[in-house]
Amino acid sequence: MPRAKFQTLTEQMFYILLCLKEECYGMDIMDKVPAMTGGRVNVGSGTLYNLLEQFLDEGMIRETKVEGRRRSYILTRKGREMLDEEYRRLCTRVDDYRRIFGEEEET
Amino acid sequence: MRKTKHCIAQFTFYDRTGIQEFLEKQARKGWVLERLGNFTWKFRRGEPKELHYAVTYFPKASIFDPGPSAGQEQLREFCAHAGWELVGTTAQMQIFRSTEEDPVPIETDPELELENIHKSVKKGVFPGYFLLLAVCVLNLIRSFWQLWESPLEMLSSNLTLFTGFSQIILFLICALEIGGYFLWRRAARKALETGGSFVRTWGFRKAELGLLWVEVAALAVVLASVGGKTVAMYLCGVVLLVVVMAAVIGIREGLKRLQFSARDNKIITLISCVVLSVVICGVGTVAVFKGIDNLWPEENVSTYEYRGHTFTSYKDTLPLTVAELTGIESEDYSNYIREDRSFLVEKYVARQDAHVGDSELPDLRYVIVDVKLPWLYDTCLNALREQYTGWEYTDVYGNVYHDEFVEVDAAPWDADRVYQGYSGEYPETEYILCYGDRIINIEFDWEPTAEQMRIVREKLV
Repeated sequence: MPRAKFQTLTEQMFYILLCLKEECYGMDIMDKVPAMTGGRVNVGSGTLYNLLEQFLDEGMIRETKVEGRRRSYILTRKGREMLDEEYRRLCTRVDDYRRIFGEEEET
Repeated sequence: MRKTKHCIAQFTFYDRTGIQEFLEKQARKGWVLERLGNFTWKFRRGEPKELHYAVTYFPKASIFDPGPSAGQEQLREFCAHAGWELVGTTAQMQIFRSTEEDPVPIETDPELELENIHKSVKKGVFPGYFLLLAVCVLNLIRSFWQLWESPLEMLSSNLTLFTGFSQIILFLICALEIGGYFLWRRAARKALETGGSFVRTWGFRKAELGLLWVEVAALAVVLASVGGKTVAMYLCGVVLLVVVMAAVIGIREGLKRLQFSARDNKIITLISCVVLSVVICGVGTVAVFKGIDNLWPEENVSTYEYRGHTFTSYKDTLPLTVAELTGIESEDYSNYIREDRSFLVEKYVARQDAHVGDSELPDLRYVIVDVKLPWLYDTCLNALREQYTGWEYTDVYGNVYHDEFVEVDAAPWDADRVYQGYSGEYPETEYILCYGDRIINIEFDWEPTAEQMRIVREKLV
């Protein structure tokens, strides 16, 4: 089944939102994400544009400044909640892994 | 060595991967995409090199936009930052180029890309293709109806056959584009649902170009088979069509330069398209017909007067005349023959009609049909046999008569088969004669004698 919109976040969504903890130009996100992940995750320019539009529509981020073509954004409370939810989901996964393999290693 | 070249822009709109590969291949050959035109894409010769192209779709864009929207500007800024330079746009499609060795793709989320393509296809090309498909289907129904109702007229005209053939070509292109897209989308969605990556898009450029070349070849064959007058009429038709298209595109581009909004531009362009089609095609067609009639006046035609009315009289050479059959010679005859030829059927319609007046000269009419493909023989024969189907008369006593052709003895005509026209139970002097691949439908104003039957066979077979 296709992913229900923003019920879970893709890796790219997760890191874009993470970048917007602080006010940030859209364009700078393209540099920040690979820097943050050691080059493991890259966000394409088209994907970034579309995700920013969708985040704005969903109220997960808001626009803070428009300087010509440059726009900056910041995470909203709703965006933060969705990030937290994703974090909890990831933690649950990690916990489950540790519970299974941790027990095996102990025995 | 030429510095530029143009490629026909017959690309499948959503064929993102196919277009990219085509452009990258051209770059390796030294051809760099310079501009996207309405019908062709222009390439400029340069050094052969490895370039990366990216085709993306911006669903909110339209061919009527006076310029890029703020959103498009922002996207381009993002792309430029990532090393992608905009080469050109056409409707929702945007083509970028990168000289970097391994650039980050513009689209890195296949689900988002799939939805973007879907929105763009729905808005950009499907309305046009569905409209074209509807027109094709209606025309095909009309052609099949014509084939059913008057098979001889249809089968003996290369132009009519070509018109039907063109509708099939257009139908196939629309079906490839629409059907191909839905099948690809289903495959792409399924792949994403099972954790796969973006499925290569499907392109039909080669198949569609092949179909277009077949169409051009068929047109050339058809035009070569008809007279100069028909060729001139067809070419004038094509010129009128090109004039309408150029005018409509000119209006759209002019309004864009004048910064009309996309909505206003669309409305004005649409109205102009309808008005110009009616005016240019209407006025143009009349002018073309008049001009062509002057350039190719009908030969062997004169007129005569009778009781204040003007009548046309033809002086064509006929393969069989009343004089040859009966010895009656007169100048008061109109001798008319026209031929229709296609690669399937040849048809000659001949008439020797006495001038309207007080004379009592007998008339003679005949149609000669040569069937070139045996499996069409029965269709042609039945078309002649059933030409009066549905005709019925009621006499003063209330008796109803039907006209039909009944098979009679072929021996007197020395033919394979002979059918005689009957009005009810009364025989007429109209016959259908079958000689090999040739079928003759002949109508006398008198009862033909054995000698006249022999002359008919000698002259027409």
